[in-house]
Amino acid sequence: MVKDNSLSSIILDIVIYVFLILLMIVILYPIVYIFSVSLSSSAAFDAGEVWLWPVQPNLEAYKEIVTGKTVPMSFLQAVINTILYTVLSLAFTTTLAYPLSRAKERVPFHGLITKLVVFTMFFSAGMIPVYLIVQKMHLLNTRWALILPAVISTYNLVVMRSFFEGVPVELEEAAFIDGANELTIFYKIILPLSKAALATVGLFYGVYMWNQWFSAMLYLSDRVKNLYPLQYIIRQIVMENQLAAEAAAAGELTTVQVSTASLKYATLFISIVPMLCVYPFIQKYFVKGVMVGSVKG
Amino acid sequence: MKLKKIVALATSAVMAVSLLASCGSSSTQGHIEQDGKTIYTYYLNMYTQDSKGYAEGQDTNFAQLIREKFNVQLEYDRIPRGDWETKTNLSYAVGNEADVTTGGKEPQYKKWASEDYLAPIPQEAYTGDDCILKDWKALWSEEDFKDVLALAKSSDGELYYLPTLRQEKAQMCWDYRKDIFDQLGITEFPKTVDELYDVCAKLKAAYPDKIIISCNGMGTTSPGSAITGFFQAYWIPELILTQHSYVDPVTGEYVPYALTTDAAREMYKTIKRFNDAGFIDKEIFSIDKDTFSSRLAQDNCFITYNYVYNIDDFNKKTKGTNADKTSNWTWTANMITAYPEKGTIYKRDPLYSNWGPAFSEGIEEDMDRYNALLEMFNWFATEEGQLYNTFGVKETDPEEIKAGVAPGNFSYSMVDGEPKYNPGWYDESNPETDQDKDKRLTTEYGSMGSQFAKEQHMFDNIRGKEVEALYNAFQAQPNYYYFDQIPMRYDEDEEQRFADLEIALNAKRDEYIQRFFTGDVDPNNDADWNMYISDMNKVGLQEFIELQTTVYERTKEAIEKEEAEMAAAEGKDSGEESPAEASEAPAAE
Repeated sequence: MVKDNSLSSIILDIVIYVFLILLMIVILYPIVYIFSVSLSSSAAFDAGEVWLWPVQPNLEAYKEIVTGKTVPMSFLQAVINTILYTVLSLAFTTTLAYPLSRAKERVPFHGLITKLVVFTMFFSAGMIPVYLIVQKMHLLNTRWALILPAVISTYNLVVMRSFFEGVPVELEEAAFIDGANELTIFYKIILPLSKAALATVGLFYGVYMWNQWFSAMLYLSDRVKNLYPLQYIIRQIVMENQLAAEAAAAGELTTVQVSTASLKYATLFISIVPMLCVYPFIQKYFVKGVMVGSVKG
Repeated sequence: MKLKKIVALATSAVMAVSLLASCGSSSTQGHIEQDGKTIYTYYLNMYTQDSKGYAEGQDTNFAQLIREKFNVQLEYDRIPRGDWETKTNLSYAVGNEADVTTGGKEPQYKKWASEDYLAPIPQEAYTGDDCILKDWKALWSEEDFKDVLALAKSSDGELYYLPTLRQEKAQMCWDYRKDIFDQLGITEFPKTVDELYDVCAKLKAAYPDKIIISCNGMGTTSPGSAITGFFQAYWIPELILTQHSYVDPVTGEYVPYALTTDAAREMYKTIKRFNDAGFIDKEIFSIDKDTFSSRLAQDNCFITYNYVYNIDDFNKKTKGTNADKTSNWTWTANMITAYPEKGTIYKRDPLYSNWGPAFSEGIEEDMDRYNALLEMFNWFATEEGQLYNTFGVKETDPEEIKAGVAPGNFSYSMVDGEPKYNPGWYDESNPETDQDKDKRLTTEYGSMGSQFAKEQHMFDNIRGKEVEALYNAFQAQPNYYYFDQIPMRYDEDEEQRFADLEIALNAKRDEYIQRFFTGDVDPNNDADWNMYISDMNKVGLQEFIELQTTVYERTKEAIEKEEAEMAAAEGKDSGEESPAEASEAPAAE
């Protein structure tokens, strides 16, 4: 690329850098703020003294989290759910997307399966029927209730299928000639060539499960509260103030215990960290992956 | 083409089957035989307020107690409070509801009752002097209990849940920074809107950069919940955002929709005037408790309409980490009125909190089983029950209560005739105890917490003394009035119409409350006011007024009839002649 040293180009570069720096500040500031509040005293937060750096810094909130049982356990559950779900979802998604990406002649009921899959993008049975299925399959109060009903996302399946369609069939034909069967081709050729798509779709699945609280609310009960994922616990912590106000207005007899701001923000910060750690490692695949299916022909 | 049709049919069938699959019903548990006794078992759904644990199993002190005393055994589904409504709705929809649910609010219970999910409380259980629920009934005076029934019953005249005593007679008042008032030579909290304006002007002149009046809303009802102190200044009830209608305590006039009246317009004009002058927090409609705490800590609020017992907390928040800082938040029994010649309105709390246990449909099929449960709930209302639920077990308590308590795990002792927690137990009235580390009744005994009422000593120590002082101070004020709640019993169709209209009207009302406040629409301007009324009419105001008036009139008649019938039943029960019988007797002779 030829370097353009014209004044207009330099001005444009400055504008771009200024804009990107501002954008970076807008994105980073909430994270820095959450971290600072988590390290500040509640009194300093109430007094409005925290806006960038921690004021009266202390590790009390993190100490409370680490010594308490709820947050560490829910963090562990969220990690287990996310890993398990991502692995299973990728396995099911790729094994369904691959045949659907190939010629109709090679796959029995190709059209029917495609139609059934696409149908679920537009129509859903709703919360109650899904709940009943989960109940009848004895999945209530188990980890599988969070994972199995959502194990394949049709959107991700379509992304994956589009990517597989871009892998030349000639590679498979060559492998066939060398004696490989369908499974060998899938594992030895197609998947290694699909790392970008796997990383992207895997990230979609991982983020989905990491942020998941609604299915935990529906399918888990207090009897298995050790299975509650982190986001569900965070939701309860964040809602405490509102619930406390409502409880007081309704004249309820039980006192609601409200967490301090630093504890809330520390829990929020802890929930952000794993995703922040994962992104840099898959970023190189991500740019390529999100382009999947965007150009045809 | 044929294949397409088959696919279409198959997919439609899958969808239909999955939808029909939601139609289910529950099967209720019955009883077990244990040591020659019939123990009735129930599935109980209750909500939890925090993540503190409960002692589980059937060997806890509480489980043993209710088994011994009432032949009752409970299996729990404990649900975090924020999820309780969703999960309970779902359980009714899929047919695996609990036998008993606690913590629901009256509107939910009335809705579930109209959908046949709940069993009515048998009238004989709360009628007469020796009824099963006699102690629960005795939480109120005879007259008050009639009002409770009138308000809590559904449109079919049945009661579907057991309401909880509201121990606070009055708790809302104006709180203010007395130290700042003193500093500016303001000797008394104002009593009229004009006086309040003058005081705010003085404060603003002295502190031009500060907010004078702020408040956090009471939950998510409406943005208007933060300015209910102003509502009452114009003789509009504090609870109008959910109740919509009222009966004037002086004239007896029924007003079917309050927030479009001339008084409401005057109120809107006032909040705009106060806002234009910079007295009111610009964010008053949206600030939450945390932000309000920040206002206090930054000396950014001198007047608020709030709870009487929050004073200590306000002072603590205002001082923050600076113990030397002066902060003297004080409550006042002076309410603001716009009509001093007519009188002043304060909020008298309702007779009951509209939540409590309800029983699922089908439980009445075995009345012995149902009655065992009612007896247990009745015991919760006794002094002994309240003492147990609030303080637990004293070493000298009767044997059956001591069962299951490990040596050294007795929770309270009597000190100067008053129950006091033993060291190491969490006491919500004592800030010295540690709510995280100290033992609790729920975790040690598996008890469910207070039901129907808090034990009186505990209530007094938490907030009862302030509440009583405020109520007495209101009583001592001349021409102070409060609004009575008005019973409204909607049938199923009316309830649906009410819900539909209410959603539309609330949205429009809330929009205009904010627009009047900001000045985007000026309540002083006739054209703007007429636009508001016209917009409200477009979303069904007139239909709503008609509905409210019809239901009000009909409910009034129904209650008069019920009270006559209950009086007759009470008379029969006590062996006295009922008024009806007495009036018929001469004719029979």
